[in-house]
Amino acid sequence: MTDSKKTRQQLLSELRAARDRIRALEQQIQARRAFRSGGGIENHSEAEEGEHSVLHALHRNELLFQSMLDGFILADARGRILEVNPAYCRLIGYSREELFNLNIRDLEAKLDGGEIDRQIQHMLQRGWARFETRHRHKNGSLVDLDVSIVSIQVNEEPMIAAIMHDITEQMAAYRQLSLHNILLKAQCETSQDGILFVDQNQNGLLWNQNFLKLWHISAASADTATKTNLERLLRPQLAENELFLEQFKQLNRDTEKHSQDIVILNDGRFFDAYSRPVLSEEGQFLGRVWYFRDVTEKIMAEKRLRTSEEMFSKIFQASPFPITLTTLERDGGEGRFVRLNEAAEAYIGKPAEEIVGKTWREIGFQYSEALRQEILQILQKEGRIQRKEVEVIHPAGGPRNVLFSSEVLEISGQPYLLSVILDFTEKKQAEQALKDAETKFRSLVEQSLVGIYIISSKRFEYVNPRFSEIFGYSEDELMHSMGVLDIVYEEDRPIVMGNIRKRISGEVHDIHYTFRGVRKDGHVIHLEAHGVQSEYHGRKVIIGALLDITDRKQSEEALRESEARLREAQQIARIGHWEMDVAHRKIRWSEEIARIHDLPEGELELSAEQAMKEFVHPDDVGMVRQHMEDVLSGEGFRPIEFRIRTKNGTEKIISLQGKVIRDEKGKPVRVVGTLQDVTVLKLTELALQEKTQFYEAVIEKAAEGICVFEFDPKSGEIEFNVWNRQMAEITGYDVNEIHGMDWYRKLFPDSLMQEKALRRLRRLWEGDELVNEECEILRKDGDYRTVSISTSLISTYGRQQILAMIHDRTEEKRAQSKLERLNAELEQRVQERTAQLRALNRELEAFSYSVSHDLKSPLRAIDGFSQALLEDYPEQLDETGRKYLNRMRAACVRMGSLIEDLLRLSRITRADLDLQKVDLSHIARQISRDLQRSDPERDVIFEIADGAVAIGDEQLLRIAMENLISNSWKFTRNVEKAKIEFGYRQESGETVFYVKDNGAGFDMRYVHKLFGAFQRLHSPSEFEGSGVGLATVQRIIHRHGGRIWAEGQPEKGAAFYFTIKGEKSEWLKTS
Amino acid sequence: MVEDKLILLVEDNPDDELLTLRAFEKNHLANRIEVVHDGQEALDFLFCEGKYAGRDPDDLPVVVLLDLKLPKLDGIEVLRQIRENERTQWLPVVVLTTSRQEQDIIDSYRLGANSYIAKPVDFKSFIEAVRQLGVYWLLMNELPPRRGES
Repeated sequence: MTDSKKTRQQLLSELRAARDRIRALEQQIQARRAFRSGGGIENHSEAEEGEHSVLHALHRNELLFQSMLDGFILADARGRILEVNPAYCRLIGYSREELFNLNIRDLEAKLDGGEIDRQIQHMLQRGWARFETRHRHKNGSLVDLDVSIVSIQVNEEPMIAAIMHDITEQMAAYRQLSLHNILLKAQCETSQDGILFVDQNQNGLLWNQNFLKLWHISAASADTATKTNLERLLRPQLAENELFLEQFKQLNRDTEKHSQDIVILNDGRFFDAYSRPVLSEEGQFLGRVWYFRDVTEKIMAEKRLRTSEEMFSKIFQASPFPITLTTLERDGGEGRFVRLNEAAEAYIGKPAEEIVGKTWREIGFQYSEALRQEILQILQKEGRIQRKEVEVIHPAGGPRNVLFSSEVLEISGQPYLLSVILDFTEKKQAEQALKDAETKFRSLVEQSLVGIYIISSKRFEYVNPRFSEIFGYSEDELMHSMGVLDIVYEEDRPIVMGNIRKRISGEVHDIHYTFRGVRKDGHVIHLEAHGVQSEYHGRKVIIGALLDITDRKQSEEALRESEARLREAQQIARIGHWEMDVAHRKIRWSEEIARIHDLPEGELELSAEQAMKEFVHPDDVGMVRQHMEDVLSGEGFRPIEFRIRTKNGTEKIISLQGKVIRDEKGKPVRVVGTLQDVTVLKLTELALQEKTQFYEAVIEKAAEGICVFEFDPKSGEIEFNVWNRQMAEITGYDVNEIHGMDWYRKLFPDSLMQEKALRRLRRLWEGDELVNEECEILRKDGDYRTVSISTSLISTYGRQQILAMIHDRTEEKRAQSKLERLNAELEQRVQERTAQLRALNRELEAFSYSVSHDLKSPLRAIDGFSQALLEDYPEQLDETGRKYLNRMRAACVRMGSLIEDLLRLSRITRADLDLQKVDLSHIARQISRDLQRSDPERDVIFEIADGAVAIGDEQLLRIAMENLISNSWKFTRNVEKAKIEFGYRQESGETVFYVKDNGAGFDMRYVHKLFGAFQRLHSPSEFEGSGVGLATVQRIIHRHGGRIWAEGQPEKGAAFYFTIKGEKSEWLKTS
Repeated sequence: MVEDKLILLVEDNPDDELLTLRAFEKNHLANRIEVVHDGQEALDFLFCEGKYAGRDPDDLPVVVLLDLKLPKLDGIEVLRQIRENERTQWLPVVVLTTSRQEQDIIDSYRLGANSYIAKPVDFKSFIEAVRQLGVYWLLMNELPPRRGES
């Protein structure tokens, strides 16, 4: 027993003795009173002596009572206050006298009467009671009290004695604390994040519902699961568990760092993990708080964005159209090139390096400022421009017509302009030429002074203004409400009818005759008609000219005027007219034709043969001659184009139109017609053709499938105009195999996909710009192909078509999914192996635990009962018996420490390493001091080198050092000048530490046994020990990834060398 | 009175039970010692259930000596239930163990073991544990004398 307890026991017995004396005195006094009342003899001196002694004791009690720190109340059974001590008066603010008029119940501020009665009842049963309550201070404030009451007997009256301990401050602090807890909890639970508060040993101390939800921990298992092993809980959920858990562990020990990381879970979620240390107000490290937020959506969105960017970039580069990205200056200044594709480089004619950073103007393009301003305005208003026709001057190509499409993009807050340029100058020129010709012919007809008509059997299909003027009817009346014969003089109707019939039936091709007509006003007029059979809107018609010869003079004049105009017009259109006299084969032509042939003015007549020889290109002579023969033999005049060589030797292409005029027998008399120089038109056409072929070749050889088609949004039918080789490769179909609705059925066999494709096309048709998507199509051979399709609308000559570019990604996809599958399988196998290893380790752990526990239990009993025998039956045992029992107990102690050593050894293998900088010199010095203190008798010289520092687990390294140095201490016991040395040296790049002594040493033949558990090289009688020490050291060094070896010589000493790598060795790590 | 102050010993190993009782006896601590042999029995005793249904619920032990390795319910579970029950949540519990396994110590302290002593019960460390618990006053001091004794 300790000294303090002895003192207390002594005090107690003293108190008991004192009380016994008081009781004895009381009994004496009572006895005396009884004697007195009974009229017995008085014995003053004895009584006085007793009273004096009682008073003395009372006085001592009174002093105690007055100086008590806790309040004291003495009350009767009804609670009336009979006595209080000054401490209670101080507590409650009333004076002692005031309290005498009060009942305990008056002061009570917490318990009701019933509860007080219950406590008193309790007290009366057990003799005491203890409870917490509050009393009201005189000033109205409340005082928290810890009350102990006991019942005592005063003069045979039952009384209550109460000791009141003031606990107001504790209670206030407690209430404050629980308020803080409630607030903290509420705050935690309202947070969107999963919150976890964890101490430095990875134990969860506090967490909110969101944390459990995020980590899929059921509320029921939250307590045990989260508290006991967070790591076991988190690890299986993490995709890169080692990485995060390492960090998690390290951070939880870190008292300063704030961390923010993305955690990847193996179910594909991503958490944003933020943590910071929590310090108490005094700066003591309490643990770390972690906030987890599910950011899967955000990260996936970013990923999708990246993919679409990549696709865009591919299209950008692969597009056959020039595409440019320029800055959009906020001040309206010229935008500068940022990027452009290869097509744009080719179009501009310079490499990108010379373009980027410059403006259109700076690289030589010219355009009006007004146009630029207009474009800027449209962009400002609508954000985009679609196929705006603009004119620019190309630095190399002169004026160009360009379709300019542009869209404003925002990239990192900066506005940019993405523009597509479509140069259609060639097409435009051809178009313009056609338009011009058409306009000219139309005006020719419209303004003709000859009445021109088109009739089909009996109706007018067309009449020109002159025609209606001749007859005085309006064009409308003639075309819509009158028959052909209505304007023919009655007598001549059969002739006209016959002539019309002949031409419609094809009997004669053209005819020239006169007849009489009737004007609206009834006047009969003489008319000359020239009619040619032709086709109009798929019907046979007669196109003809009508001349009013009634007023020939007038008409002739009008004709001359008209001819002059015609000439003028012909000159502009480079059209001349000619006439051939069939009989003489003589040709007369107009001045314009002479000009076309570079002939001097006035040379207007020549023979057909002459013309053939002099002007027609030798290669074309045969064709032209044949044509002439055909015409003269009555075949009618088909327009013909051939090459000529002019007088100057210039080669030109001309187009010849004409008609044959016959006599009444139908024999050709004259051939009249026009000649037009179509060289420019033809050359343009050829150039266009060449360009078209070029583009077709490019499209045909493109690595992507390209098709262009017309689409009928109502029926869904498609007519392909372009279907390149790669397209046929991808789909397996030739373009001839796909038309109408075939695409719909053949390429998309599943009705869902069919509908989707159709819907997409319709949306695109209505103007949705560019649709990019990946889908599956069915190839002709039944194989499914994954393709990415990008489509866009293209518009040419007002004809809208769809351009689709298709990239076959099947192989890419297949390779990718194969890789993913392989990875998953590998992962699976690794996990299975890991799980097996873990299970094995757990079994071993459980085994060693239970073995040690079970072994120790009987050992304890043997030891305990041996001791019991020694203590309880010393007389029944002789010296030998006692010696045996002592031997048993010593054996028990040895076996106990053996088991402990084994347990420690297995723990070293299991425990996690806490790596840090460890000063081994310092540790060696501490160990040497402890050893010297444990046995001051021994004189051992320690030589410890300074600055031996290693990265490792301090606790484990200390155990290793203790074992090594204690070993040396032990084995130098019999040496006179014992010396133990700790040091280190550098050897091939690593630090080798060593512990050397000059003790008993060992035979190198047995060096291999040194580090095995329970392997001993000395008998226990020489040197005690379990043989586990060096095995433990070896495990510690191996766990640090280091090596250990020994050198020794019997009676000369031993040396142990080791290295420390400062990192965990994987093969020894078990958890 | 001292002999009224109940101590509950939860121990399944009869050797350890006998040695523990002997240690108490040797040290003249004449408390009432109730011994139960498994975790379920310990809970039944404390919560007056099962075969202890008739027990006075107010007659709580001043301290429970709890072995961790027990049949049926183990000591950790018993401790957890003691701490969960409002009536026994402040009951002083001293964990007895043969093992120095860290996890046991961590678990029992986290669940609210008041102290920890190794077997066989070393009386000195028991007294030290009890002193730390603050039941010292109840164990060591006599209460004011009852009626009839004065």
